[in-house]
Amino acid sequence: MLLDVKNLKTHFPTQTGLVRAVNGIDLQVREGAAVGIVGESGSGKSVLSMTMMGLVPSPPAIISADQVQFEGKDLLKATASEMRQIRGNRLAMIFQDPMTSLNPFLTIGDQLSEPLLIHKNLTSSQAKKRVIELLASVGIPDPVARYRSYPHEFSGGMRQRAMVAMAVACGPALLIADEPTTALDVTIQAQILELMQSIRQNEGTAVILITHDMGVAAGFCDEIYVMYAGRVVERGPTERLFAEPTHPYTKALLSSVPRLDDPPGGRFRTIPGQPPDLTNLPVGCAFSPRCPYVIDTCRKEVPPLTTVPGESVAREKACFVEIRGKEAGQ
Amino acid sequence: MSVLLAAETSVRQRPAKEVVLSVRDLSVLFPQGYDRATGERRILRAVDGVSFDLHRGETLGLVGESGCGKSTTARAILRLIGMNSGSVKLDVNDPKTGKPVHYDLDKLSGAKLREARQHLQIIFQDPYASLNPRMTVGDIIAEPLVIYGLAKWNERRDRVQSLMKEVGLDPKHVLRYPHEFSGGQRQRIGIARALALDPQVLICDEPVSALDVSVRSQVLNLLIDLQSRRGLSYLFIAHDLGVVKRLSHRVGVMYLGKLVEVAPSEEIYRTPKHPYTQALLSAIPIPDPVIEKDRRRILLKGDIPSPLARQFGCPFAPRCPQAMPECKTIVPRLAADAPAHEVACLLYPPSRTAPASDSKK
Ligand SMILES: Nc1ncnc2c1ncn2[C@@H]1O[C@H](COP(=O)(O)OP(=O)(O)O)[C@@H](O)[C@H]1O
Ligand SMILES: Nc1ncnc2c1ncn2[C@@H]1O[C@H](COP(=O)(O)OP(=O)(O)O)[C@@H](O)[C@H]1O
Ligand SMILES: [Mg+2]
Ligand SMILES: [Mg+2]
Repeated sequence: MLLDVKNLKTHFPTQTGLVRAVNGIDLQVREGAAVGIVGESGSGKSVLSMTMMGLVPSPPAIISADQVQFEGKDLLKATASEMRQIRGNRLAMIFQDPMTSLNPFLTIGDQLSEPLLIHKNLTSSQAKKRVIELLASVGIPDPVARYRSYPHEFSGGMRQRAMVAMAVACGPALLIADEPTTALDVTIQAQILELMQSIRQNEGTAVILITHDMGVAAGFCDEIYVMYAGRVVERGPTERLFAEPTHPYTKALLSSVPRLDDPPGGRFRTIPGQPPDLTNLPVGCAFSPRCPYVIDTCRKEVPPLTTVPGESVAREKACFVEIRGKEAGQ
Repeated sequence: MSVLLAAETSVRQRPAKEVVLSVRDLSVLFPQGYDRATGERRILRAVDGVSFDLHRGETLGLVGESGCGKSTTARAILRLIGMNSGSVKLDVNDPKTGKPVHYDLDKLSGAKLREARQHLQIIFQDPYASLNPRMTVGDIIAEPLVIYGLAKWNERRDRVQSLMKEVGLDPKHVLRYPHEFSGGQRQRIGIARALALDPQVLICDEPVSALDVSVRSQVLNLLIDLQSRRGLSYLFIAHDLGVVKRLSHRVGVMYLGKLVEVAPSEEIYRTPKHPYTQALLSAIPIPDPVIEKDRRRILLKGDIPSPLARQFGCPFAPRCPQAMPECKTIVPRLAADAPAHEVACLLYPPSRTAPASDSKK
């Protein structure tokens, strides 16, 4: 297993109470896999990825886990300098807004060379050659001239391409992409997803794709984790999960997404209510106040993530109720 | 399941034949100083000869990628910004007498423009930015009534309460401030304010783009209910084509300031004619892994060009997988290639015809 996370928690003490942003998460990623993490905003997707990258300052955050194993090393026990060795080298990340991770005062060339100079011991002329190759490989036209450009001279799509190039410069084993296409238009999104897919195939890089777009997840990922209020409520291979969700939240989420192949007209399906306040989670299952399948136990105990019975593939869900083949009882 | 499905797929009211809003050859240019190299004036063509009709009770979806001129079109129709050419006509019924009234929006100013705007309101993407944080919800919703002097103090209170109920807000919260509401609720406040003057046309500029799916559906259902209850006409701007398809009777696709295709919703998704519409639709992910696996995408090369660049011929030609040499010189005209299906592309003979004489001045 490339990445093996057990019971990860990231809590933020705030004036209004303890924000349980990530509240006991298990996550496994195999070499070369494409794993999707989906969920609505505020469900803890970004905090989860930033925690794994060692980018959440603690204190103030309270971080704990049974383990965060990456390539046989526990990231939570790594020293700051060990973490710097891993980050940008074996473990890389792409953010939604490339401007937050590109330095506006440095040329694209200088920024892309940096990880190569630090981690790969290349000379500056070797690094330059490699960066120009990388820019070309992510589809940036005229890479020799673009080497000297500043980020603001790039369009949004080109900046995201440059980010991808920077993230894969050292040939990471795992790439975490947090909503990498959310700020982009759909035709540009399609280009970036295609690029990430080809890197995966050609370099064998594993990808964790974080997205709120179920369509993007459906097209890109082999396996999907669904998050709700800081916890994984369901995980499983993409096709089975979409075909027959086993958690009421997954089911509600999937049916509330308007699809291009839906007939026009008619109302939209909704999930009643609001996501919970993370400082004041309901007792028991966090989805229980909005759940059409709720039973008494749900309001008393937090359902653990357990194997879904009767499946030919490995699936897990955190729900006391069997919902396959059943409609919500009123 | 069957009950739910029946309710969801039930056909909504058909729009009427009458046109409430008619836009012809609308253009909005933004001067951008001078080109340093050539000394020529630089002009950004944000909206470039857009024409369409909106019918009573109809939802016309307007889609296209960011910067293609959707918001500028909306703002020009409302006369929030000036237009460089074109006409905008509004045909509504006087709410008191029920008699038809006509406004040439492009020619009006002052009191007459204000009167016309009563019938034509807008809701924005970011309810946060468009609501005054220091005003209570009650005052925000009542503001248009105050400005238009339409209701006395005590009547206003009743109007605000009934508007809040109509959009699904608890009238008890009338004294709360915008920050005390969630994103979806804030959008409801914006809708209530837009409805205060009983408009007949509502321009919705990306009203749900900032909301999560579950909350988004709630707001969209509200818009559907309001339309059937009040007979509203919507110009619905969005970049989520899944949402637009569900909601709209017809859809218009914009690219670089131009409308490139307009057709009934079902038809534009089933048989898109313009190569840009085809690429746009093929780029949209479908939340179904089985379909996605075998789906072929039309991947466009390059980025959307800047609307500043001098363009000749078809604006999409530089990225078009089907471009022909003449596309770089001839500007295709938006014309009907099938009943109610208009397209601006030289692959379709009607687009080669000269523009009708009345549209050229
Ligand atoms: N530094 C922080 N301090 C307090 N709360 C935080 C902090 N960072 C994130 N949160 C909260 O944690 C929750 C999860 O956030 P995030 O991981 O960004 O969600 P997502 O990426 O799924 O939209 C949110 O409620 C957010 O407000
Ligand atoms: N006030 C303005 N001054 C100059 N350029 C503008 C102004 N408003 C919009 N634009 C430009 O006009 C074009 C169309 O913008 P807009 O109508 O906002 O697009 P959309 O709503 O489709 O994303 C863009 O290139 C934008 O940068
Ligand atoms: Mg996030
Ligand atoms: Mg806009």
